[in-house]
Amino acid sequence: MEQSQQQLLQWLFATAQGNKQAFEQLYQATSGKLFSVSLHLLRRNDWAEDVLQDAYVRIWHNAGDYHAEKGSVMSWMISITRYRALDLLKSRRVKAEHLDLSEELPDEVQPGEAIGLVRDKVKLDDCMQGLADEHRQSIQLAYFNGLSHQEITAHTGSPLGSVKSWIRRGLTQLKRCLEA
Amino acid sequence: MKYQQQELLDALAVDFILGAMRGGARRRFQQLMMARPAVRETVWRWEQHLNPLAEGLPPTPPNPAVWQRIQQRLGWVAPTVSAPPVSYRSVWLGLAFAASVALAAVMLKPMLSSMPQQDIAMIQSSDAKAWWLISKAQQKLTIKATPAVAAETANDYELWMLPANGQAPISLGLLPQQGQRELSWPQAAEGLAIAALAVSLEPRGGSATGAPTGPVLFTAQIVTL
Repeated sequence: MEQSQQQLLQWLFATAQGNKQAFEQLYQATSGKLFSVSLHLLRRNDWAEDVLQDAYVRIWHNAGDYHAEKGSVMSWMISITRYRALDLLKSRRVKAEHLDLSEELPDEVQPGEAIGLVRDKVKLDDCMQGLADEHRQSIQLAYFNGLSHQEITAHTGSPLGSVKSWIRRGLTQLKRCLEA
Repeated sequence: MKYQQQELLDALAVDFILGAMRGGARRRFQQLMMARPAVRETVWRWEQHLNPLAEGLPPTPPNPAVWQRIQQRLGWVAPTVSAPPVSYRSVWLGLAFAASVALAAVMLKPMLSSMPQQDIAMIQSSDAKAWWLISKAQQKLTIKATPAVAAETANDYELWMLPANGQAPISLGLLPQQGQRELSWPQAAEGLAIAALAVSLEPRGGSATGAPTGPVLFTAQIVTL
């Protein structure tokens, strides 16, 4: 389902006014993406569902706090979901126990089929492609799977110092490319 | 703002977003975000840079029950299960225990005083009605259902042990809806410290996945007598 930033903004605005129907439409349009975000970080269906619930309860209550400087509506909702999931990961200290790294991330993020952020994403894809492989992979492992530097080290077999500098250098380069 | 300061802010914002910042550092940074516009604007900018990554993920439609539970949490619909449900959240995030467990322990003590050391727990609903009394001696659990248990014909109540080390819950078996039942303590739970017990509503015969699949209705702490 493809939804424009404009449409999401309308629903979010109506949500902030207490419109339950608009909130349900917002949920129907975005919950699949947010559930994927949560599932990637937590890798457990029940926890991912729990985070999704928390995220939408927050979205309902905080809809009025959204403004454009915080990014697109979708980006704002993704952040709410990610922070909630990271909190849960930390509080359960379960990363090492339940993480199944045998299921590799796709090397490239998939094109098309985006909500709201299409242009941003195309640019990000381009900029990500410009990074060295190990820089890109480290950033993806940290972003999608919430892996710490140590866990990325274990996963890739690279020294801790390298992983840290890959992420840092990769992101510096990414910023230069995105803000160019 | 000096160039170097911005470099530092960028690095901190990225650590914050990726979850690499922990505990006290994270809290201090959150405080800084509230106090300093430049800090929160840096975070927002990096969120906008990085979140499009998530756009590439194929959507996974969540179970329709999630939408039901969101509406319940917002108070739009009444709970659908026969007892007031406790969301997973309280099990996983807080393990908020009923204060009355201690009281129950005092009340039960005379009954149990002639026995060797025992662990007991009382599972009770949010309106403080006891549903099950559970006692553990050596490797045996004895569970007694009270008349307060809401009869479920289509489902079973399943009892779980939540290990204190944070590992996944271990099934202890199905709870009786009336009368008494004895369960043996599973091998997998041997020697593990117990954080709490939890009861979930499962399909008849119990969860097929080995993990709770239905709503978690109750949690209770174990008291050693």
